[in-house]
Amino acid sequence: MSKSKGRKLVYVPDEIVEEAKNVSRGRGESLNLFVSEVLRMALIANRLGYSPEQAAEFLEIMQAQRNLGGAFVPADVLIYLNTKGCEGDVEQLEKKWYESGKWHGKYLNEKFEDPVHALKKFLEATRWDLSEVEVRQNDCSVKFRCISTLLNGKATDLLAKFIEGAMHSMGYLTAKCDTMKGMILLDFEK
Amino acid sequence: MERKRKVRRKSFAAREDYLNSMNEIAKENELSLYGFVNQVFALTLRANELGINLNTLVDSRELLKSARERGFTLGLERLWYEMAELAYGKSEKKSLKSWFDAGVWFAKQYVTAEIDEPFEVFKNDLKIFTWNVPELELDREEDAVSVRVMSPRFTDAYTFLFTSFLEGALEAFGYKVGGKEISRGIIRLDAVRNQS
Repeated sequence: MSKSKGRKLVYVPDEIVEEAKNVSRGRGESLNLFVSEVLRMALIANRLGYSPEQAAEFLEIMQAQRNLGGAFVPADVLIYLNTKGCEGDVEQLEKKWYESGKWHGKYLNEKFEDPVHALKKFLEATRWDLSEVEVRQNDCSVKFRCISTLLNGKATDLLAKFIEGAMHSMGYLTAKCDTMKGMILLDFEK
Repeated sequence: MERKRKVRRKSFAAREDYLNSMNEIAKENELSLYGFVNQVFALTLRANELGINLNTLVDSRELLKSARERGFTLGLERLWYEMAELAYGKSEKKSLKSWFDAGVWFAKQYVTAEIDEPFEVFKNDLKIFTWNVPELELDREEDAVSVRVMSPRFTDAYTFLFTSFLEGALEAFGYKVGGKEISRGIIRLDAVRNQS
């Protein structure tokens, strides 16, 4: 940190200071350095368009994705696998996406206080082929609306299966499933 | 009259420019600087409990942005493996071609870009996008490249398909694979610069 920069006092509750001391000690850093780093990263997060809350949420989703065994695949290969590659095995393919969704949903259910919200965030963060993910949730029902200008018909159906799988492991049943190229409308009930 | 319980506070000395910027953000969000700083610390400590730090935020966002730009999709490794098995079982030739073409396409982005050391940038990006692969080494010496991949989770089909992807990428860089040693989860490739 530049010595020429001016310094100001910032107030923090005692309990947070104690915790921050433990963390900085664990990292082998001075408390001042830790404080400075926290503030710097908060400013970067803000520049990236995240509030502290959103930044933490995004990080949790990314961490969950790594824990779940997230992997990148070339988009063209995925298109091939979704269509020609598995042609004639539609049922089996749908089953695989559904099971993958179920597994995912089970993990989110264990890890997150609001697994439906986590699923929405997961879709927003990782499915960049979706231009819109809308989730309306009340006590016993959830409505999903996903829009994409990039997904073909088959890929749309498979993603819908994935969402169904995830929601089923969170204890929801499908009330309505309406898919067409680039659009998924799914209603679930407890 | 009942007295309000006071929260004990401590002060830190922090960089003035950081605090001034935070003050502005706090105002935009209708928070006091104290409230905003507390929020930031509370979330940092929560993230720390989960074993992540805020540096990861920048890295993860950059990673996703870069993956999107480079034509990758993020999903569950197990699902990719199962789908690859299914497709490979149906048509080895077509599946291998699909992966080979994807490798060519991926590498061409670097070959055709006006960047210094495109192979090195490609190598770094490939390592980043294959975060699920515990070992991936690409060594280039003059006119030869050797590749070594070890990934115990790869299925048989995925091993062959990923090899095809690498071959496609190497070809785009002008290398021809001469030696190959492949078994489930293990890939060794030796390529030399194509003279033609």
